[in-house]
Amino acid sequence: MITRRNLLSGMAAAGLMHGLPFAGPNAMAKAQDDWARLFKDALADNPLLLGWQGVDGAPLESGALNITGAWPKDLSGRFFRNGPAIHERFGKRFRHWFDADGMIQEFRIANGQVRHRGRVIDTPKRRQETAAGKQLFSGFGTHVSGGPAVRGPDTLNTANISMLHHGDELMALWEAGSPTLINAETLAANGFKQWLPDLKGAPFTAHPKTDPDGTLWAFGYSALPRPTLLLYHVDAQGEVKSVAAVKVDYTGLPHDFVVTAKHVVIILPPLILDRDALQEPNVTFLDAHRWQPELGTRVLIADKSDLSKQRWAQLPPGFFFHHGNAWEEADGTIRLDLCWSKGPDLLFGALRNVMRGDITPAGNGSPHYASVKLPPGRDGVIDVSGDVMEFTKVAPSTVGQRHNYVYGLSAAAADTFPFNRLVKRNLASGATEIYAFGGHIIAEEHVFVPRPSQKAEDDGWLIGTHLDTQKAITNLAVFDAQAVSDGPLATAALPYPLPLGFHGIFVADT
Amino acid sequence: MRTLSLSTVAAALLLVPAFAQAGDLSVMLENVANADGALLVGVHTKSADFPDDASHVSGQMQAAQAGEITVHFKNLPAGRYAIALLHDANSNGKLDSNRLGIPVEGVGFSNNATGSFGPPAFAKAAFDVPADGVVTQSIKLAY
Ligand SMILES: [Fe+2]
Repeated sequence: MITRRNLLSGMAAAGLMHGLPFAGPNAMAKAQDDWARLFKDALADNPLLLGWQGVDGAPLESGALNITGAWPKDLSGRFFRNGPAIHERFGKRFRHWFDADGMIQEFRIANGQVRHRGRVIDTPKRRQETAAGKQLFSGFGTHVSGGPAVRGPDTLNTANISMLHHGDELMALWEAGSPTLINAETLAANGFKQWLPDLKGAPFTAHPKTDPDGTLWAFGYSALPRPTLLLYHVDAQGEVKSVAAVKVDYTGLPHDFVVTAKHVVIILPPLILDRDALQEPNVTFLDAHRWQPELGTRVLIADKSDLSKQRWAQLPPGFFFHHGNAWEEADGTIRLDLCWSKGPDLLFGALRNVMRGDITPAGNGSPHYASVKLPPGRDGVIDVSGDVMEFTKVAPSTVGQRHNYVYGLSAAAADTFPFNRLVKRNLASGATEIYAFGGHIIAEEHVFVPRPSQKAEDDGWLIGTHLDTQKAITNLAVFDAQAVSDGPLATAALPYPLPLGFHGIFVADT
Repeated sequence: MRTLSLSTVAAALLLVPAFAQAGDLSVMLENVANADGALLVGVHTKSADFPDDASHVSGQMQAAQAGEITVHFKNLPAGRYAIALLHDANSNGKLDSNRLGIPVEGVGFSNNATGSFGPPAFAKAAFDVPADGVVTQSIKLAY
């Protein structure tokens, strides 16, 4: 990931462009590109696309939100969400949902009231592009030529996937580079988090896991200059205990992982970077990846007490973004759940097409709940018979322990993208409780928040946002996790729509 | 850019040949991030190993200062050269990399040439120093 595409063709292409008298940066900035025009036209016909329109980057600030229902008085803290938000810059629309600059959405919840603030994350990438008045750097699925040198992944870091609060630090997470430190009061970006002196610019997953005792586990994957997985062990106070670097033949594109009480488990889908393809003109980082199902899915299992103790297992080929949780049986068999699809079609299809205004089916990328068994010393087996499910979450008290419930989003099987249902799945029975928001609504991840005096695994709330494309507003909803099908206990309505994002965290008031 | 090292830059400082057919070179370093450590400016002749030490014919070291700084090379024999810059912020005399092998200190090359997963080839960074007169290179450090 050190240089991605734009190093090669970049300077030469820029030289040619600037020689054209009519194509100066200012003239280009005013014109809308073809994807921006396609999207605008499509939005007029399909209100669901409101979720991907994007915002201009101005700060958002609401007063006390109008609340329907009774917001639980004992739920107080801040709910932070993150996601790509500025989908067009300088007239040019990004070619993939994953590429825009991140934006923090903060919901401050106290005394049954909710207030919202939104702040764009001013990364070095964004600052350089703002100063230049044009897009300079390629993204995951967007090619930009003519930019300055890409020194490492953090040159391209958009901090646009998720949030982490650990050891008194608030961070916005990408996955191919460092966390971005966020000032918890102003929400301003405050440089990159560097875990150790020799980890400047090192990748850190968007989905770290926190044990019930506060210990933080994370991984980082880097395809360049050599395929490597980093395994992070950080104590509850934020002190790094160890970081292991594992050399691998390929990293795939692992997005999430799980921990048991004893092990870290990273599952690598066989979507593999072709370094030579990266050298070709106008090839994006995404498009330089090859789907190689014949390699199967590889699983790295590392010992938490000594991350250098590792073993590998094999699963059938599949692609997946989000996992649920993992635990170990008495004989050492690792059990885990994740959202499994037959292939990476979402990544190459729907998540890209939506940026030009096409909502296309998930196809082979349709994610389904799946459970995996990894017996000691043998390859794994997977049960993929579950229903459509994504954005899975579990109660924080169960991380690494046996869990009974997983919460997530779903949709009618025929149209798995985007999601409009909230689901609670009982793992023992396979039964699901469902709340359907309605066809004009797009639901986002809902996070489990334990009641302050939590007595049972599901004794708490699910909080999350959904976009009402008829009213053109975003709502924050809170559900009783023991009565999901009853619908929200309360809903706080924003006076404006937010761009659809990815992940949130709840930080309780202390 | 594996070994633009302090010792070889220092050694090269002693090599100031006074040729009759010689030009001057001004190197303007732009975008120096801060005043930490030293700026190493290496002038290289053609080599497959660019910017390794073997091709290194002249060099200067300056205390870093944020922003811009200009460095002059006098009486370079006429010919084709390329420049490699390093902002050695921790003054350890080498380009530091992180555990993944990704360089983490500021570097720059003449023509503002960039490489793919490494330094640019000599040809991309090469320019001519004439038999007399001054040639100027403005190089933006990238971090
Ligand atoms: Fe994610």
